[in-house]
Amino acid sequence: MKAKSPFRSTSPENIQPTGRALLQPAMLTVRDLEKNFVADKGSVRAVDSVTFHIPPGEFYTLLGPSGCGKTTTLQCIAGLEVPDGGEITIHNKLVFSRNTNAVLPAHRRDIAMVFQSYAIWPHMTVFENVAFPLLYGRRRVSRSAVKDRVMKALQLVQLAGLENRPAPFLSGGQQQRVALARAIVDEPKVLLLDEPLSNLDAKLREEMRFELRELVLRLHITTLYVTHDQVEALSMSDRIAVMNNGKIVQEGTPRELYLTPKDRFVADFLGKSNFLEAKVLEISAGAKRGRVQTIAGALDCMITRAVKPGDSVLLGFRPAALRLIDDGCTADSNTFRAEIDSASFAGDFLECQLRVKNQHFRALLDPYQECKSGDVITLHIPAERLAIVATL
Amino acid sequence: METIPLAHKPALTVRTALLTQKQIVLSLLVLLATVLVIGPLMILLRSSVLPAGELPFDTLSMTAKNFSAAYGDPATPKLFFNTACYAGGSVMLGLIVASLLTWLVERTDMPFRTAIKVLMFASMTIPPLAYAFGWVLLLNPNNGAINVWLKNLLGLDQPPFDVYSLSMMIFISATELVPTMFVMLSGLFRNMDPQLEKAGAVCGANYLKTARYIVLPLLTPGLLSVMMYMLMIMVQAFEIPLVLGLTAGVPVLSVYIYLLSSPEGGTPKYGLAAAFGIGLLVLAIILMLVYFAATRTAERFRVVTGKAFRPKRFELGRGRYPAMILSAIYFVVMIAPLLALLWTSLLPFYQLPSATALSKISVSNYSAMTNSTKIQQAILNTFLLVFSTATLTMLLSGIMSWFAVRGRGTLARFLDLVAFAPMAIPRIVMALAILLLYIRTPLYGTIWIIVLAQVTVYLAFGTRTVNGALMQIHPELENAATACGATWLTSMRKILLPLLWPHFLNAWLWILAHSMRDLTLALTLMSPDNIVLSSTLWVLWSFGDIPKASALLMLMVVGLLVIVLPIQLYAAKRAESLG
Repeated sequence: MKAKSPFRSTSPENIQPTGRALLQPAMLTVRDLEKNFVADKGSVRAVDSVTFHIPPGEFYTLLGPSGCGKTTTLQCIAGLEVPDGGEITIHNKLVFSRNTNAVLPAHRRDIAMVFQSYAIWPHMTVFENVAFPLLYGRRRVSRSAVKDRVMKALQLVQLAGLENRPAPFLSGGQQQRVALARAIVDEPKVLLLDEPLSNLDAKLREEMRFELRELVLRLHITTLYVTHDQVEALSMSDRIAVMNNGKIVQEGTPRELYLTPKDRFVADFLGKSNFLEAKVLEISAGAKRGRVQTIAGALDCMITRAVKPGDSVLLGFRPAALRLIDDGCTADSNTFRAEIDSASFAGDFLECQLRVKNQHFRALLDPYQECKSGDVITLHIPAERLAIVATL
Repeated sequence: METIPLAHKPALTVRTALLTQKQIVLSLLVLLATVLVIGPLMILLRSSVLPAGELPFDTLSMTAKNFSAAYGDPATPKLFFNTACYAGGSVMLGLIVASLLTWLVERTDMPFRTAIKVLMFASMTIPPLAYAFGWVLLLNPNNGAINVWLKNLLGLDQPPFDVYSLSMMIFISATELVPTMFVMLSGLFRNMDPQLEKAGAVCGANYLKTARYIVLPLLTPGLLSVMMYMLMIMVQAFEIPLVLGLTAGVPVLSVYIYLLSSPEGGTPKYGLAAAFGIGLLVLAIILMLVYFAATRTAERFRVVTGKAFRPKRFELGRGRYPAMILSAIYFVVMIAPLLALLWTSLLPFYQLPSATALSKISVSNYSAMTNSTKIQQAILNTFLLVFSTATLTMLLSGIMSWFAVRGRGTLARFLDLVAFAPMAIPRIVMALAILLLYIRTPLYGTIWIIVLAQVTVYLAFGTRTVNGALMQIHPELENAATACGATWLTSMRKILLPLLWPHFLNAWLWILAHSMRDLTLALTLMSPDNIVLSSTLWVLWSFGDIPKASALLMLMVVGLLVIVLPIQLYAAKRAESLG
């Protein structure tokens, strides 16, 4: 047998057949990444022990407000910034390690990147822009093959016929497609996208969202996407990591993140949420669920962090999480009564401002049920829709 | 047993080595810039406390006598007063003429606006020496053409004008300043949103009131910053004060420093010259600080709204005829000295235009130049000087600017500061300091000492231009090439250089033209072996060979135009194609 590889978890020879599903090889691994910037008032930690693994073919998104460190993380992976700590592995190849104090220069990393400004070179034609990686990049091809490859890439992004156009004569949407064609032309293993849709107008953005997702799926390219737009993140990604202040605060599928945010920041940043103060009463076996005391009574909820009975916590739930209980049907557990302050019929849903004692909530209810302000109603919230988002 | 492919061996480059590579280049640049810029300044300080008759590296003794001699002399306040009058007067007069012309060209419907613009750009290539010599031919009290004509025409006893006076120095310098001011002001006038003027009109103000209370206050910061910039240039102006001011008995600081370091008789008084040089340096630094304050205000007042607007031109109506006559007068004033030079260059000796003189016209002055080995040597030296200065300066500026703009950290910032410092150092002071620093080296007396001095002086302009251009080029354009797998060198060669090329070419051209025009450095550092065109001109003129000097000047102007115009057109076209 061969000598031990340092990449135990990712090297093919170390993966047992039975463990294949469990130990999926990662195409991109980031471990304990750290990056500090020197600012006027001392040093600022832009990226703080960020860790994630992306299996081959996955569409993974870093979502967060501007300044949360998502672009810096991307640039560290691309090699445009040198991190201060951690480890980065791309396609089984260690490209940065603080421990061995070594970096692989950016131009030798097996990635492709689409920049926020598109970075289309204005002194070249569309063809010359797309041909650049094939002529001067990592995987150079013979001159004769360049034309075929460029044309194929342009076809994929639906720009066939524009190859001779000088770059300054392109619209924003076309520039975006050229940037994409340039990124995929040399068939990279990993594609890094830095807010690629943020400079497009709303209608085009929606179209490109779908098209981009289709394209990387078809080419089976592992994609790391950076955005501050929650709609983009939710509709395109396989998994999302929400970042704030240089840290990943929650990672999960779009469904998990949106429906059961486990952190106050995620709940706030991704859509609207209601918050409710509570005291932990008991924690069930397995520590997944528990019972808490709120002003709306005792409720069952998800336990998302280490708490013990008696702790004060903050609960969060989505406006759409509540279900109106008719007088006719019997309510199971987890119900409470609330008064409707105002109700407005919005077609797809009934938007209500509810009041429980002096606490206000926003609720999106079934539009088929008639409610008006002043009514006192009974609401049910399933325990898996109510989660601790912070300890107080 | 089935062979399983090995995982990729990590191909790693040691990080420390990667960083030091760039740091070595940066450190070398910092060292070079320090030697180039700070070295001369240190020597200047040292020389200002140098005992009389000594050279800076020969002795360690110090004395305060130079300062007491320089600033205790009752004539010194007059020297500063002359400098202030000359600089202030020419800038004010130039600014009035330039504002008027710029307003007519940019904001009114005066005919021939484009022609005026083209003429303004073309006249920037004419060296100040041409104006000085030309006006001497037209207005000297003995046989200046205009003086003689007016005397005969009006039956005067005395010549009406004397070119050797402070007022004429101011007038000539002002005409020479107008084209540069025009270029600086035209953006300011063009970008002013006419809606601001309209808003004034809507409020019921008439045009004069709008001009007084809205347009002028809005323009003031911009005008002020142009004024301060020009004052910075004019306190160190050398050529026109040298030609006219000495005879006029109105010495200014720059000429006085030159005379102390290169006296016609006796030994150079380097210590005294350095003491005066420090005075001029302090004056220039104060002006620069005021200039920075003024530009900061100008930024705050920016009337460039960024959104597209159609500039509505003021309709002159009947006023267009006086406006056209005014512009025509300016151009006659600009061209008159050149015509005088052209006329003189065709004659065997200086004569007033007449039928007899016309019969003696020939190109013998021009053909004589091809026979003179001295002049051929000067032409050869000039070529060597201007091409090496322009090319070396731009090479150095390119690398320095890249580190200053794209780099982070104190070293990069220090580099930027050092490159900018020569902006505040008056040219005559720099010339003196470089002379003192290199006088004992084999460099002294060769053409390369002038190259070195000019590179130091023009480094500020070169780095400012490249900095500005680099800041407009999004760093993602370079990063994109790196992300595509291109090496740093390839991304520089294939992406950055083509994008910067038009800016490079323009700056290169500007330096080339100014390097050829420059007399301050060439004259202060002159030796028999490194004489160039501008210093030859001065030598010919001071020995009274007026026709040859005129011919050489005409040759220089034409030569400059021939080099500058086609390259400038090409650069403009390239810049346009980049969008």
